[in-house]
Amino acid sequence: MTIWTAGFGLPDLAARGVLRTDIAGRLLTDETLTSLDDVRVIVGGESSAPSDLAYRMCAHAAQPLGARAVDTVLSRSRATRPRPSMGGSSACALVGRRSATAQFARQDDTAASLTLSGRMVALLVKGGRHQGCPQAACARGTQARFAQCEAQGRRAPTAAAGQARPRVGNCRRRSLDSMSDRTTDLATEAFVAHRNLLFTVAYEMLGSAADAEDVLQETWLRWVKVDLEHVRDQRAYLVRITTRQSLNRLRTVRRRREAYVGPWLPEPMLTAPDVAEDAELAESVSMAMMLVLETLSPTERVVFVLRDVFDVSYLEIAATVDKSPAAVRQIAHRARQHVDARRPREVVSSNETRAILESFQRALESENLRGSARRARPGGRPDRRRGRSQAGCAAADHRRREGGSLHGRWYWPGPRRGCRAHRWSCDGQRQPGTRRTH
Amino acid sequence: MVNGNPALVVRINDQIDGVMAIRVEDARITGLYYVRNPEKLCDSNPRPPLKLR
Repeated sequence: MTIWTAGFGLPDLAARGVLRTDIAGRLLTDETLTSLDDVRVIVGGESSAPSDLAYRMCAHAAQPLGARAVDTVLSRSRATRPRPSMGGSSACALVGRRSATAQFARQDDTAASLTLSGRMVALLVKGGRHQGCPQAACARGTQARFAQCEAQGRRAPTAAAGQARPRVGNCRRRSLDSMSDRTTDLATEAFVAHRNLLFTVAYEMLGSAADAEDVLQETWLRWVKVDLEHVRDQRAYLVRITTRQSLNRLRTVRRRREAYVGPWLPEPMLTAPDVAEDAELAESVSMAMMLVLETLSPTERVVFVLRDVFDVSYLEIAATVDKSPAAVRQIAHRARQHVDARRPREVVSSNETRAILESFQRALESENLRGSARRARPGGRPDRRRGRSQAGCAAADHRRREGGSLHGRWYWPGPRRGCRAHRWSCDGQRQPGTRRTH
Repeated sequence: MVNGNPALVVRINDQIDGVMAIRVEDARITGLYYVRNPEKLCDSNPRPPLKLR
């Protein structure tokens, strides 16, 4: 007997052989977790898809599945008939730092009318399941939220969720009435239609893609509880929920960022070239602009982003942040003044930025910082003031203005000090590129 | 493209060390932003495309 751990799907080689898999690469099995193609192959856990219906990913589903797989192996060795998979998770937990909610479920994974919540549950669940599990820390509760979504009979929408519909327990269709299913589908459709916009709103407000995704999850959980018949403008309503969630999170992360080691910078996000074509969007999410937004108070930031970036009316913003329209106008005015004093003076096209960046990169690679300094101050000699290039000075000035937002420092000692080698230092330690010259 | 603008990815011995974005004014570099926090660099999940409307 060979025991093989395979993760969420069958290994590529096995999948290309005789074993059939579903679209996500899980092994197709019958209800005793035996492969349809080879009775010697038995699968436990999430890489199985009994009756072509995958289990959802959670520890509570995986554990009984492992036991069931062992049971099948033992039955076969005793030449008895293996029992079909019972599947079934007993509890889904939403785990926070101080509190948790556990939703109990029946064997067929329909939700039972029993939930437990509070600090004790957090301790129990963390102690029993999540302790020492790095994934739990990484997932930041997202997985747990998915689990809760599903326990409530809803499908959490993600970009990838469309392909394999997650099914639960013993693969029987869930006993939800079709009415609530349809409502949920309508809500899902509306949410998915506006998902990119909502993500952008949250990212502009938080400067962190991971936080923005968490906010989107929370928005979704609130959105599915809303009675759609009473919503006149779904887009505005969704933006409102997202904004409120972002505002809450912004207040929390502010406190966390005060203790951040080094200056806080936004999470860089890879974007497609089409973002660069939209000059307004590219400017609003640029590193420089995100740092300026970071200097606003949470309410100012929310008001500024909604008004000046997303063009939301004052009336709507007032309703979102629970203030009078006049007060919101005043906040927007103040925020605009604050931002205008700090934002880059002009909007630079993507091509121009690229040209400057390429010149800078060439200079770094050839360590010809003098050329770069010319680039930094066109038409002439590098500024030798205190041995720093103009760019260095500008960077230092900028750092003073931004309250320490610059990570790298640029020194150009200059020939007067007898330094022939130009020095580049990032955080005082390492060299860009593979060369190391101090 | 990082945050809608061209940026540099700095590699040391084929390991990504950080992402460097610049601030440009009057055709000059007036700011360098160098992110080295590994937590902010593991862009493992595909993020939704950004959109203003």
